[in-house]
Amino acid sequence: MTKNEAPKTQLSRRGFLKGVVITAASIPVVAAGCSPSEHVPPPQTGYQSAPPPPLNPDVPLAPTTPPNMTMLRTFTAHEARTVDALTARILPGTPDDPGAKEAGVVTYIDNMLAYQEGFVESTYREPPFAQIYDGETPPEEETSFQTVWVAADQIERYGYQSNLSPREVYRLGVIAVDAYARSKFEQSFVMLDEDQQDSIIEDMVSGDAQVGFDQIAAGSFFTVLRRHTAEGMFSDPAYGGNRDMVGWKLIGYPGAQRAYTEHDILTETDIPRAPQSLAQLHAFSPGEYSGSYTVLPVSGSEEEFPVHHDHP
Amino acid sequence: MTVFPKVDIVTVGAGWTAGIIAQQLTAKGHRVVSIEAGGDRFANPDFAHNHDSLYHSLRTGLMFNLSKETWTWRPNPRMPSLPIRQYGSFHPGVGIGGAGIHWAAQTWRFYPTDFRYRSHHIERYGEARIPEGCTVQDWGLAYEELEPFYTQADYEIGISGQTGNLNGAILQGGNPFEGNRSRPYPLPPLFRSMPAEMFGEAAQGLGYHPFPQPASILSRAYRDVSGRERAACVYCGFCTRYGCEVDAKASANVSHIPLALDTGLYEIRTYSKVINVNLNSDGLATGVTYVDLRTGQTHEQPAEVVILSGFTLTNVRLLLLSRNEVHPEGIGNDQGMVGKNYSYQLNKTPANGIFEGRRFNSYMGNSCLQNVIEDFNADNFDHSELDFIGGASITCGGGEREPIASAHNLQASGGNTSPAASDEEKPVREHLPLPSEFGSLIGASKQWGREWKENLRKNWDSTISIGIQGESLPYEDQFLDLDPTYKDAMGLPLLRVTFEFHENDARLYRFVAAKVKDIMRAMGPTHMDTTDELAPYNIYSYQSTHNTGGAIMGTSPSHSVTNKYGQVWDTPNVFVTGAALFPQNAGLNPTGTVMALAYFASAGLKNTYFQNPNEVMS
Repeated sequence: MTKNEAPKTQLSRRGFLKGVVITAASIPVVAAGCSPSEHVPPPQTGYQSAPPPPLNPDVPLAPTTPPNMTMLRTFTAHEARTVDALTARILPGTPDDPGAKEAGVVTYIDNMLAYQEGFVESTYREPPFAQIYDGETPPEEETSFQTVWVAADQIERYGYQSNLSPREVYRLGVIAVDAYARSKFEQSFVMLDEDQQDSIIEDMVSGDAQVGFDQIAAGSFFTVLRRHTAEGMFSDPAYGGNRDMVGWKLIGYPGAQRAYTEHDILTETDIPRAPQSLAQLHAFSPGEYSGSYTVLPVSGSEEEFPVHHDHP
Repeated sequence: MTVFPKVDIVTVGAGWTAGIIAQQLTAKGHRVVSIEAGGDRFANPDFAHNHDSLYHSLRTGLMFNLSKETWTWRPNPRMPSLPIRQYGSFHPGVGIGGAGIHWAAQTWRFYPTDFRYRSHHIERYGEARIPEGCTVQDWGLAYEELEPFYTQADYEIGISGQTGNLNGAILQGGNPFEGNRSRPYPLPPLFRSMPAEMFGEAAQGLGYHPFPQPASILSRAYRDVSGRERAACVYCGFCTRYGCEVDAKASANVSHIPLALDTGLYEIRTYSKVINVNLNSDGLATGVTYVDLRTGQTHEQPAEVVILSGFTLTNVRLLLLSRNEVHPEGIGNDQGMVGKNYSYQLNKTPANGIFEGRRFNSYMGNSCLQNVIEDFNADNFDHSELDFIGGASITCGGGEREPIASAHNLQASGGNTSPAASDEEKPVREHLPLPSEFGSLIGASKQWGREWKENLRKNWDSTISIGIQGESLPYEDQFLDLDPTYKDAMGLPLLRVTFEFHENDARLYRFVAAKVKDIMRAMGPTHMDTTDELAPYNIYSYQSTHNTGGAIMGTSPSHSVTNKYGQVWDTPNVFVTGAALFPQNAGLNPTGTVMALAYFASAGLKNTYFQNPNEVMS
């Protein structure tokens, strides 16, 4: 990206910044060493609804059309029913007082897992992976596989180190929950009544749930479920959860807003602004560079920076 | 491979310091090229419609891409290092503006005593008070020398705050401990939140000196260095981890970068990653080699001067990776000093309170709505009778409360569920931690069911936290080097961080946490959770992106990598910018000092260096 030797007209910075809209597509030309040509800014017709190219391809942009709540993309029907039931106990609800089920948390999770096996944040996945040992020193096992031995009471400090993907976590987690449910109540989780389901979750939280949880820890799976319940409940509805913004209504959060005043900040009210989603958020300074608008008196004097008087 | 025409200066990245240097040096007619690993992005259109907290906060969408390159960590040299596989402790940025896009914009000057840390503490308390193995030292740069450049940053960028010390006169309502300012803040402080006012009142009642957080966020419209009038903050509630949609939050790409580009002497090559600083047989740099990330092609940009102006960890890694027969251990490392004096901070919330029945509107505004007390930071209080040195800022009332993590972490209204409570008990695990089990903003709260729901309904906006930002000193067993095992996507070794909190940190924390508890109690919560002891460092929970050291400045090559300009002693046409230069960290956000140092280095380059190239400046 280079500013050309263009005549110093009033478009100077605005022209440059408008040019940026298409500069992204033209970067290879510049990077390959050709001299940059003067870009012709595209016509500015209101807010550009097309999202900019992702800066970080590891993180998916919000879907432009909300996910289909009746079409599963990742889960089997049984997995979906189980995760729906689990999250419904973590954040319970009724049609009049919506919880995770009513908000569509399972749709949120199902769609999240459809992207890069559920890796929706940037993740380093190169080996070797860690292996846990209990006791003073790692066991002297003969193995041709390379792992990194870490003490059982230290591994948590290193954060995520599993070689499981989020999608595998849910596959194995549902199997484990069902196995534990059968060991305790002789039925799969979705067949249990709410009190029985609650007792399963209690055991997962306390660590008492052991049977079936051979490959992932019950407490860890609970934490993942709870986190994704919060995400599906309180993220923008574009991601498939928080249907009708019921999560935001529950906590009194008005969602995507453009601005608050000092009065807003300092006034307590039981009735916050009606929530709005990103899709409902009005366009801001449509098609113009936002800095072109000065809405308050300007401090700082021109004498500070006499060199730049030619700018608008 | 393309070998580009030689330029005066090539910079690594196009963030705050590269932007400042590019603007300052192109204004003097120098040609500057920045090689930026990320893309270009500006307020409009890139940030115009970005109020998506899942993307920005939970999934850290604006951060450096970890899947291609990360950092490894181990607590000490006796334990194994593992890669940071998902974001946790710190959040480096990528793209034009760098982390200066998603920063919180809390902007400070370090204290005069910070710059002569070792001398000051020995003079006042004796050498025995420096902890064993602690490698604190003086900067070789006095506050008074840097003051004009702090002031330049204040006015060119537009910083909002309440002046506390104007030419030695202590002014009411500001920070009474700050060093002399030659000019007041150009803008008044931002609005304060209700919790900030409650905290201020409680702190004042206890005899402390609360004042508003200084910020690089415009409290009023302001004409900055670019000559453009930028709008004031609209308190939208989407600030830290977002780009500002109205350009009220300062960054290099609202001011310095456009100005530099206007000269026609500046160029930024985006999606291009520097992999090596090239050296000649005289031991001087000849330019950089970089990879065009879209094509995979390698190119060379020759330059008179190479400036390592990436993130702290990026700069240190490049010094270590760039070697030849003259510098076999890397640039600046002829005396083994690269990687030394890595420091971090104690960024914690020792007390959380629930105030039932209140609605604080904490989701509005930005992180700078807070009040601060500096009564227990640095050497602002007498340490004679204490068992530690250093201190911490105490802060309360920052806004922009994000709904997902805050709902997840909401403290229970009965029983202590604060995250550190479970950290203390050293969990023994049979299985490796799962993806999403921990995350930058995700604590260990386990409340669920109807109880969680009722708590969310009643108390989500009724909580207040008091935070601290404490010093954490450098030690011999705390450093940066190249990891022997893990590699980036190009096969180059990752940087390894060896870091653990030390006893001085634990004592400092215990002392400050007790003060925090007193203040929270005075604020009158219906329920309060406190964390009285410092838990061991972990890499998964977000603390601060205030990683410092590894290429520190000083007065001699035997104790530092660079001089006070950031000029590398053993390779004088290589400069380092940013917090890698700090001999130790302070209990304050580093960017104000990072900006002042970039102005200081710019002045050295344009006034002195180019008159005698390749000479070490005095």
